[in-house]
Amino acid sequence: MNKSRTIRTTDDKSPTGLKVRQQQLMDFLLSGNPDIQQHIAQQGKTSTQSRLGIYRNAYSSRLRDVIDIDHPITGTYLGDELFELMVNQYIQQHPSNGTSLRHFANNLPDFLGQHPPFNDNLQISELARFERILLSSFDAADANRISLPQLSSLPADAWPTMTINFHPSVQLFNTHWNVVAIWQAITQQTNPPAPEQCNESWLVWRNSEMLTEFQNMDNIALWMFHQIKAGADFATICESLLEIVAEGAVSAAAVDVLTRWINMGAISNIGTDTAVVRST
Amino acid sequence: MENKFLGFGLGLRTEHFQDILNNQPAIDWLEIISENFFVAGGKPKHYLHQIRNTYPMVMHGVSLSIGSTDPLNQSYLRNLTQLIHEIEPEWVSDHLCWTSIGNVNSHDLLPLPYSEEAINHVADRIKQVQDVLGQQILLENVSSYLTYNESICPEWEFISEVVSRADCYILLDINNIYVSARNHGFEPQEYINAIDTKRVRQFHLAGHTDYGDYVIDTHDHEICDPVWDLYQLCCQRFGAISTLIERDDNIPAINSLLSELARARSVLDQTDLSSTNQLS
Ligand SMILES: [Fe+2]
Repeated sequence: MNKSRTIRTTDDKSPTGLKVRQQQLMDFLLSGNPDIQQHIAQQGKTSTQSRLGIYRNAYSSRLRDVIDIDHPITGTYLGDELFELMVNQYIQQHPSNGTSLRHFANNLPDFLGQHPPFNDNLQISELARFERILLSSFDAADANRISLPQLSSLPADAWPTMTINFHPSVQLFNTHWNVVAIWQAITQQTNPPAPEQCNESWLVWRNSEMLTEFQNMDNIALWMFHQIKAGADFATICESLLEIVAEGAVSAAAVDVLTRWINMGAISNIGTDTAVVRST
Repeated sequence: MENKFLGFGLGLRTEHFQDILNNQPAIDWLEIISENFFVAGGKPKHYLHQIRNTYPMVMHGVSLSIGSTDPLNQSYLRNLTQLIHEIEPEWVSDHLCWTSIGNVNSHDLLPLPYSEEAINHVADRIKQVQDVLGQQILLENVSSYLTYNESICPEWEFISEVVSRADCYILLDINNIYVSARNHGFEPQEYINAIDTKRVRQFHLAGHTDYGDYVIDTHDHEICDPVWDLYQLCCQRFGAISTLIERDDNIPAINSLLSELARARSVLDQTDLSSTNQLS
């Protein structure tokens, strides 16, 4: 190759031939825009349309597989026909912006909540949102987990100022639909219950065996969850609990919830004025 | 970069995690898809680190998009650097292609025109990436289904010129050479014989789907006989090069992949290496 013919192309502002060609091929993948076709060579028996078609099929089938793998329960709930409709519309409206396919379907719950025919049945969007929360718990960061003996070893005067930190996999799933029951039924290959409006809060976390779990939260647990997320110390949490718990029962109730969470492996560490108690 | 012969390896797939950990099959080394482990923690990362304790590994990426006219993706390079730090791979590879433009990712290995502009552009970017990573990288020839009118040379001249200007290495995918040869009507032997023996550091072997008029690189079949013949030719020409079998779909039990690895081993064993051109 004659190096004297070399064209320098480091000036990002000038639209080079390469840049135009790449945009044309991408436009074809995204929308079928045929501008690229005249720049593809005729070769052998396979037409340029078929050659481009190989890329377009690969593009959509790869993205379809991602949704299928990330959202098996939503897929089953919708049935084949609606699933294909959802996939085609979502791929059209939400091209991938990231280098990892792990995040391609992040906008699927919002999409389902906003677009017909899916937004006629809002439990579909909620079911997809539950699946995404399970996914983000599944590969959230690792961290130590505190044990009950470590909590008990805390001196009494450290309790009021102690702060509590959840394991990075801990997520709150608030929903107005019975989608956890629907999810469970489909997972167990039984008929899902009819959609029903309800107010439920679920704690989702990854246990020490690295299995993702979820548990229904009562009022006290939910109240404490929000206080902890806001950075409140134990004394502040107990004080605020007075709004929903009788005065004499507050600290027992708070310790009960905290104990449960520690046993579940949902608490990473406890901070005190002087030190952070961590699992080793 | 010395030619380090790792032997005969497999692409690490989640389907085989348990089997590999429990039974430690006789695989010389493993190749991971880097982007699959751009997650914070959880099971995949846990298994990866455990398996890494026992097996040599290399990192193989699919989203570097080295040929794109977008600016280099710095956050991608940070993720890659982080994973290199964790895994300490024998080397890092990606593909001589582009995957994204205008911040939209096709998640496909899209071909470049074989033009001066593309050669300059890609060689510059490879040098930048090697500077950021502090090491030389390997780039793989991709399967392609179309040729741009502005291509001025065959693929083997393009890849040779790029790697020589950028001073990087080649991951020679022998199945991809076969697939592209069928799709574009060239002689795969001519391709192989044009590649500089000092530049090749790894081979890929895989299966494909034959549609008669064209062939698609599906990685869902066993390696076919014409590709085994080309592998033999490559062993004669390049000598003992780390060889890896890729399987991404229709994934069988590890034993059936082990028998393909044994076949690759016997092809190399039966090659008279005294006549190879391998210099280092
Ligand atoms: Fe490959």
